[in-house]
Amino acid sequence: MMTSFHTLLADMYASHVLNVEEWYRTSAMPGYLVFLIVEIPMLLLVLVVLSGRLRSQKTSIVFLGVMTGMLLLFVAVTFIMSGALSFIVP
Amino acid sequence: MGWRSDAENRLIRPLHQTSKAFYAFFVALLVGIGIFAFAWYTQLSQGLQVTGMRDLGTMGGAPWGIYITNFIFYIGITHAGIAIASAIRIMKLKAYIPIARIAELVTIFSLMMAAMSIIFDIGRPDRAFNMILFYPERLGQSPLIWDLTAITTYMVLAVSYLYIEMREDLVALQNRVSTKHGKLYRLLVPLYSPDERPRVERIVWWASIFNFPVMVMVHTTVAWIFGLMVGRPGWFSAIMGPYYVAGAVLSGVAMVAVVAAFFRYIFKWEDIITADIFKGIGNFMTAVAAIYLYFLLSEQITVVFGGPIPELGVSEALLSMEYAGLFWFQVIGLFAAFTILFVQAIGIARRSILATVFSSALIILVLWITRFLIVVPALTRPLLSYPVGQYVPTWVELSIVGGTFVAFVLLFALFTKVFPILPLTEMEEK
Repeated sequence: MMTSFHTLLADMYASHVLNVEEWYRTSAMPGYLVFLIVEIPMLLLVLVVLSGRLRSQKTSIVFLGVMTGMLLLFVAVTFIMSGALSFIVP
Repeated sequence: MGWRSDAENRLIRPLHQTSKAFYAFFVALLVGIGIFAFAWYTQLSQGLQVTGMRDLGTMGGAPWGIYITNFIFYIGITHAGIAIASAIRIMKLKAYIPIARIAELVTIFSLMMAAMSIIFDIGRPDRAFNMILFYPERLGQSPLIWDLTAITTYMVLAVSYLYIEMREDLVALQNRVSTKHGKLYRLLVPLYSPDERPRVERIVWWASIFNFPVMVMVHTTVAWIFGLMVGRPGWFSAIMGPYYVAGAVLSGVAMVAVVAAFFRYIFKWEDIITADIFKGIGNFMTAVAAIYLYFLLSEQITVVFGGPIPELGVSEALLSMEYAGLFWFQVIGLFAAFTILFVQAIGIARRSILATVFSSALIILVLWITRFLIVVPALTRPLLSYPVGQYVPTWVELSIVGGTFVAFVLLFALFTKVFPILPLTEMEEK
């Protein structure tokens, strides 16, 4: 829906509500913030599982393995889906 | 008495007994999936012109419709599962353990449907992989990438969480289910050691702690897609974050109540998923519904009292123009659900599971409409001098959105036939 999005942006721009540069600048901040707020707890969880009483335990290895596997699976599914859909989308 | 006794075989009844009604239900779901697949194929082969979505202004439409509505709705639903499961483990709410796995599954299946709703909405879904390829450079600029970040992280966490706490059940059930199930279970529990329970509990406890910020952020991210859009009347508001989180809590818990009630009824688990569980859920929803109604009132009062002209235009569309029917249904429906729950909570009316489940179903319906009212009306009111936009979903959109609900139920049906839907080991400890 990029066309729509650009129309939306043009609508805002032309109405002097804000300019494109300002929009890019302000919209970047929450992107990084979202990344940090979401990923820092995940990083802490991984550190917890790798340290203390949980260190070098089979269960910890399995847990981290499943997390990594899920991430790779997500990438693989997106790749396969994109490829498969390219045969249908004209 | 442990669940391993014959008397408690009924807890795993779904795994070794399949009724004719289930097959009929399953076929009906497959028919629904067939309709969904045909509709999606139509859209993929002919493009988004088969939907009711049109560009803002020049084409007199709304560029987002019920796909984005559905996306926000499902993201809201995802809240409950992990939140309930985490709260049960952190606060040791043992009475609620029987619904923990149902809640986790609600999260996972809803996340899948939310992600798919985005795929339905983009004009070139065959380029979805570009979101991953160009992730670093787009992180700062595209709300779509924020969603990708939040949803992927949440999904990874939710599945890992479900898996780690289910391992012991799979080991214990290996010799109590069919050979095929047994083989699958053996395959799914590598590196198992009989004394791993304390470590699993520790991992689950920590994961429960870290679940909360991720969960709140997932909903806030979705809220920011709208709330940070300075130039769109009806969206730019500081209340969006809390508003979405409250809506997510409400709709998510309501969904868990409905699904739990369904399993309770089908498998006659009245003594397992007890009336007390619904009592607790009902009380919780009473409080959250009150907060949500307050946010709704606060949002509209602020705009109507002194909002700028474009904001007033959107508010007018909601309160007295083309979206008034849906808006007032939303308000009345939410208030009715709150009243039903409230009179039970304060003891004026007798506790009734049916009434609680009815209120929950009403809340789910109303909050889907609420999401529609957040997304669409604001997009039909251009700031430039274009005519007011119109949006009416087509059969393709309705079939695809309906298909996500069918798929949600189908995933539950399949899971119930392959894995234990009740957390057996934890229930035994309880």
